[in-house]
Amino acid sequence: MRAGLLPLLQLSDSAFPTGAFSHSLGLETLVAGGTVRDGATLEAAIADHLGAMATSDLPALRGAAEAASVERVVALDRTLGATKLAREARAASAATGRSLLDSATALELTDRRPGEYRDLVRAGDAPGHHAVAYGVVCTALDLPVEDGVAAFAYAACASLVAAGQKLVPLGQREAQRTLLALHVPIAAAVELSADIDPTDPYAFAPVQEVASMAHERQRTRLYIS
Amino acid sequence: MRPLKLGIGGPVGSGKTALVAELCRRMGGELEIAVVTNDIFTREDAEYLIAAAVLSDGRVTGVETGGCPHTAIRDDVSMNQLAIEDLEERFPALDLVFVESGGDNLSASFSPDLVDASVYVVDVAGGDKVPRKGGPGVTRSELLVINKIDLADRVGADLSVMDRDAAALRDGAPVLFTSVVHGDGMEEVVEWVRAAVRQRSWTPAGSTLRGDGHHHHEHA
Repeated sequence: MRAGLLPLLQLSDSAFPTGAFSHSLGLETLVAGGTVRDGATLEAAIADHLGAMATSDLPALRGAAEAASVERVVALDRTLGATKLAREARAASAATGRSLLDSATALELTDRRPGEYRDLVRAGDAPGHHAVAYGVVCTALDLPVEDGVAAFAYAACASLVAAGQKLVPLGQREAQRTLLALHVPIAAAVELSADIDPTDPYAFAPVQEVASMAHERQRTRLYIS
Repeated sequence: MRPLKLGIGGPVGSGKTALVAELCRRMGGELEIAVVTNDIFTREDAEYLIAAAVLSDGRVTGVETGGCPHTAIRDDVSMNQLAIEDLEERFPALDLVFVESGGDNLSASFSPDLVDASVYVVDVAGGDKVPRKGGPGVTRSELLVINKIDLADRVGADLSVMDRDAAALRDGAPVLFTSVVHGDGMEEVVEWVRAAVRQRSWTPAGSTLRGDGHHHHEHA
């Protein structure tokens, strides 16, 4: 069996505690407004997210996993935060990142970096964005970066599909077909992210950002974001 | 010392929020209290507690759970943990944090990573067979509250049946009967909470009994 496969599966399983299931990242607003109403429109909305992730979260993950110093990780973390315009989406990324670091620390790995980074985040010295935290944990688990980036992108899509399945609502079979269809844009996003300088990330997904901002004022909400 | 984290669980409409509000009213003078609510759809429970003026806004945090209250209190408690940490940071003298679950089914239970002990609230109008059904809320909660006893006659619920069934499943952990809105039985609940906070003492709900009346045996 390939080295690192099992830790990668455990880390990217939705059962690994990060609180991600409480977040829709604006999807709830798009469903309420009718923009997302079936599998095809859900796929389009998630592909939009992927486009932004390809040039922000994913390169930051790569950068964090390959960083030679913790100072470099903190700098990437702060820069990534600057690409997240909507308050709820930014807070969601920091909350899931912090929880990921907590859960990784609880694994009691020989490599202490997740716990050390968590302490920096707790002290307020780094925002602890999800993608950067994931990169730190990938390094601690000695996972190939390429696999980590793909697993992160897949898990993000799976989480959004699960949210869409509940919100639209979609049947379980259509939800799985939607996730399968997203494999193509996931692979494209992973590939594109290798060419982006992690110190100079950007994100362009205005529909998602406006939806995330509007979500703050939505009266009936299943999701935190 | 860190505050006592007390889970409040139970089915929809059994009186969890009313109980938390009443405990805040009665104990707010002697204890520093904060609440995390897990609402499914809205901040209704959080806003109720603020509007009832039992706690100021900053002491009530609402966590939306993506429609999965049982997941948020048992399987992945991350968002609730962040909410509690935030309250502890803002109110360093806290004695007690209530973690109120969204209304859920009888199989919901609190993670030991999230709370120190839990109170499970059922009501007589939900049917007097509920305690007999068992489930971790009924069998493993440190305190079982059977609420709305004033309605028992109206809905044909037999309190003695509920008492007997609950006692048989709980291995000595207490059961208290209340009518929270009328104040009946509240003094005993307050006493229990006070002992839990001050002495960190309660009868452990270590029952291995299951709903069929048989003990659960570990098979090697």
